[in-house]
Formats: sequence, structure tokens, C-alpha cells
Amino acid sequence: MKKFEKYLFFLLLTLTIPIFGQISEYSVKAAYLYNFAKFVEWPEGTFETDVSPILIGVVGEDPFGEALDQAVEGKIIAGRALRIKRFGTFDGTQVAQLRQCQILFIAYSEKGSFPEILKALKGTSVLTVSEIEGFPLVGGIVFFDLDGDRVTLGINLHAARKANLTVNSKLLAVSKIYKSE
Amino acid sequence: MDWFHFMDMPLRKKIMTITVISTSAALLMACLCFFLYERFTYPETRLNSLSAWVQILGDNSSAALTFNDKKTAEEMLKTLDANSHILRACLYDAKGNVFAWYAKEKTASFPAVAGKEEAMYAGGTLQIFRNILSGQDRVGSIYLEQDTEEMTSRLETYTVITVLIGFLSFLVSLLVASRLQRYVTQPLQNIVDRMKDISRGEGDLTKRLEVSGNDEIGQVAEAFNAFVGKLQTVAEMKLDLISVVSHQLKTPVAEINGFIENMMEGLAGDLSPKQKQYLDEMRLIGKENYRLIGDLLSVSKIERGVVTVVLKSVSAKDVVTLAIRDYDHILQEKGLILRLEGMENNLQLYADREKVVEALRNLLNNAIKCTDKGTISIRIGIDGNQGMIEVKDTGIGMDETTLGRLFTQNRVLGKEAHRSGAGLGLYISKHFMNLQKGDITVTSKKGEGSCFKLLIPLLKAQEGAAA
Repeated sequence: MKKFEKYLFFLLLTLTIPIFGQISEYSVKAAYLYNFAKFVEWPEGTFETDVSPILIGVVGEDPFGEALDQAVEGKIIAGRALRIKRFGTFDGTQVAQLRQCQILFIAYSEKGSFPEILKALKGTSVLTVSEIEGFPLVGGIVFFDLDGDRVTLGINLHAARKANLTVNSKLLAVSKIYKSE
Repeated sequence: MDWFHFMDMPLRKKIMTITVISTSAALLMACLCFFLYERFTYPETRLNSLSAWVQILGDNSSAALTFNDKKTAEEMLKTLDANSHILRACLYDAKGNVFAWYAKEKTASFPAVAGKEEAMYAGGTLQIFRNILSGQDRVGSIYLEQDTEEMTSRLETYTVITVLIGFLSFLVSLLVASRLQRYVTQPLQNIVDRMKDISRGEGDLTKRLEVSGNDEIGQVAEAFNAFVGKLQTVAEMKLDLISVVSHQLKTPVAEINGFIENMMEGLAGDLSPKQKQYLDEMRLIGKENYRLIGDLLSVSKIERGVVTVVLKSVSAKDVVTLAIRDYDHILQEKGLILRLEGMENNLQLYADREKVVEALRNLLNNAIKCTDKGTISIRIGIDGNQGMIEVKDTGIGMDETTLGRLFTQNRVLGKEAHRSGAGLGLYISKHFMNLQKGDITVTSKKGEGSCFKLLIPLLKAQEGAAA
């Protein structure tokens, strides 16, 4: 009986290690999503009022789970609260709502449709964030990369300017700068 | 400083000392104030400057902490190379663990975990902890450590500057004081010099001090001038009195002398030996009185500058002959030998004969009076470019002090005047000779006799000058 318990314990342990690793990476990314709001300025007229919340959208399969909600819970940035909105897989119907976001995370599941999403967001001031390879090269703004275990940042400054976003130089200092057409 | 020594200092030094001390003291106080001000405000200034660095570094590293970028954070801290006084720096993450660090020296030691926010001086360094905020979130904290070398070196610089300023201002104030003190001491010195002259009986009472200003010294000078004026009046009154009294006395004394002569010659009948002896005494006293009155008159004339001389050609031999006319009796009486030398010289002088004769007789009188045995010699000769009649005795002689005052006024009308009439004669003779551009000089040694020289211009020289 005891032997079984021991076995079960080790089984659970070996199962949870990768799961914890997974959660750990996304909780960092969730915190980063929230922190971007501190280092980015949106153009005038983006918000309806002085206290309108900052809207963080997630399109595609949500990898964060509770982590993102925990990251923004109770946080106030420059007098604004933060809201999370999950859109599910992109199917062309959410365009109007996506354009309402201030920060939009494009999940890995949208690997095929993300250029379409970016196209749909043209002319808006949405800070697009994704971990899809080549994201910053085709007009995406912030790219999550990995350096071993460490999450690193890449920024397409050109795309950020096109979206009328002011990126704090301190954020640029810790990011890899990409250039696109 | 020895206070009594200070009291004995000349006024010049006193003024300089006071000026220099007060200037230096004032300056030192000022320097001290600056020094203390710096001493007490500098640490705070230092802390403010360090706080500024903490603020800037903390703010700049907020993104690096937020997005976990150690490399950027370390590069950021590396900018501290520009500040030679910051020894160590350390960034801690939100949990308080070391995130990135920087140290001037390889062996770095800093708190392993973040401390609470504070600034303190410890172990000779200034240490500061500050939280780093990003928005409302504390993303980490920063630690900076600065040496106090700058403070020490600054204080050293201040000390050097203070000493330098002190030294320079000491020199300048010394210079200024030594220049300015003259305005005070010079007029005072003038007064003191003049007072000494007058008290010595040498000052010209008709002269007045220059009054330099209306300060206390100026007032002293004015008062002194007034005082000298009074002295002058008194001196003039004295001369007038002598003159008047002498004139009044001269005739009666001459008459008394005449009557004595008459009686001695038997014009009033035969005299007993006792009567004759008394009359003889009276005759001597009368003669002496007459001469004294004559001398007093001469002195008052000299003092008032009303003596005139009549210069013409005179033979030195004649002068001597006239002078020694009636000394046979007294020389014989004292058993003295009179020796004449250089009588064969046909020396022609240009002088007032009466006054030269009187001067020579005066010298002869003195010589006889001072000599009890031995020789008195009169020699005619030439001294330099002047004619000379020398009177040399083997008498008591004089010491230096007496020699120095021989021809002065003090001797004439001062305390010593009561000692027979001898002093008056020398004073008068000297003046008479000076009026003729001649002189009287003397050499003497106590106990060995004296040698007086009458110096008289030569006729030859006079003719040369006239031609």
C-alpha cells in the first residue's frame, strides 16, 4: 500500500514538472502583457474617458488560463483598470471588437490566420503581441521569444509607429529591434 | 602676547598690530563660518546628489527589472564608471534577490538581499537603499555606496584655501597698516621731536609745528604751538628784563667802581691798611660785576639778533698784543708763565678787532682761572684756510660732558650760570666769532689742560673773494 502511494507521488511529480514549467512561462508572459501598458502610450482619443479601462484581448486558443486574470487583477495604470477579453479562434466576425482592444495577444493557434488579423487591424492603435515565428517581420509589433528559459522581447518599431504607438525607450532598451517593410 | 611688552611698543607697531590682528580675526571668523557651513551642509548635498543617481538609475532600470533583462541592467549600472566616487551598486528584483551588480573593485561585497529604504553613513561610506517603482508596482530596489573621499578632499581644499586667504590677507593688512599708520605716527613723531629739541634748549621758539588735521593729534600740535608761543613770550620777556636791568645797573656799578678807585688813590684822605684791603676787595668785586653786566647785555643783544660786526683788516699780532695788555699782574700773582709763539708771522685778518680781542681775552681769562701752575701759551698760525690764535693751558681740563655743553645756552642761562661768569663769556665769544665767519673750537682732556682755537678769516681770502 505504501509502495503504491510512493509510486503515485513520483508519478504525480513527474507529470507536474512540465506542467509547472508551462504555467511558469505563460505567467511571465501574462505579467509582460500587463506591463506593456506601462511602457506604451496610445494616441489621444483612444480612450473614451480618463478612466476607461485598458482592454487586453486574446485571440485564438488562450494559453494563459487564470495567470492573465491574476496578473491584471486590481491593477491600475495611470488611473485605468485592465480588462481581459477572449475572442476564441479568428473567423472574421470579431474584427470590429478586435479593433477596440489596446493590447491584442494573437495565440499560437492563429499561426495561419495572423496576417489576416494584422490586416484587419490596419489603421488602429492596437499593440499586437504574439509568439508566432516571423510575427514581427510581417507587421506584428511585439514578439515573445525564448532565450533558454528566459522570455525575451522583440519589437518592430516601424509597425509600432505605423500604429501611432509611443514605445518607451526603456522598453526598447530591453528588446530586440526588428525591421520590416 | 606679553601685555607689558605691547604697552612698550612704539605707536607705529601698536597700530599695525591692532590692524593686523583685527583684520585677521575678522577674516578668520568669516573663513570659519564658511568652513563650518560646508562641514555641516556638505553631507546633505552629497546625499542629495547620490539620491539623484539612485533616482535616475532606478528609473532607467525599471524596464530591465520588469522584463527580466539582466544584461541591460548591468550595462545600465556600468554607466557608474563615470562617477569615480560610487564604489558599489546593486539592483534587486521584487523579491529582494540580487538582480545585477556593479563594483569599482573586483572584490565586491554588498548586501545579499535588499534592505529597507534608508540612507546612512557606515564604515566610512555613504550607503543608500531605494525601492524602484514602475507605475504602482514595486519592481525591485537599488543599492548605492559612495566613498566620502570627496568630502575629505573638499574639506582639505577648504582648509588650504582658508590658510592661504589668511596668510595673504595678513600680508595685505600688514602692508596697508604700515602705509596708513604714518598718518597717525608721523605728526606725533614731529611733536615728540620738537618737544625734545625745546626741552634740550635747542629748538627755535619762533618756529611752529605744521598742524596736519583737526584730529586729537592736530589738537595736540595746536596746543603745543600755543605752548611754544607762550615760551617764546617768556623768553623774550627774560631777554628784555636782562637788557633793561643790565642797562639800569651798568652806570651805577661804573660809578661805584670810580669812587672806589678815587678812594684807593687817596683822594678821600689817607686810608688805614684795613680800609685799603677792603677797598681792594670791593674793587675786584665791582670789576667782576661790571664785566658780568656787560656780558648779560651782550647775551641779550645776541639773543635778539641786534649785534653787528665791523669788519676790516687786522693784524693778528696787534690782537694778541692788545689782549694781553694788563695780565702781567695776575700772571705774576699765580706764578704762571705766558708764552707767545708765532708773533713774527705777519698774519693779516679780516675781522672786527674789538670783538676778536674780547674773545681772546675771554679765553685767556678762562685759561688763567683754570690753571694753577705751568704755562699758558698763545700761538699765532694758520689752520686750513683760516687764521688761528691758539690758547693752550696746563690746567684742570674738561671731561666729554662739559665739552659737549660748553657753548650752549643752558650753560649760559641755565643751572650752571651761577658758577662765575665764565660760561657767558664763551657763549658770547662763540657768537661774536660766528658773526665774523670765524669760530672757536676746543680740545681738552681732564687733568691735562685745554686748547682753545680762535679761527678768523684771512684778509687774503677776503680780497680773493672780493676780486
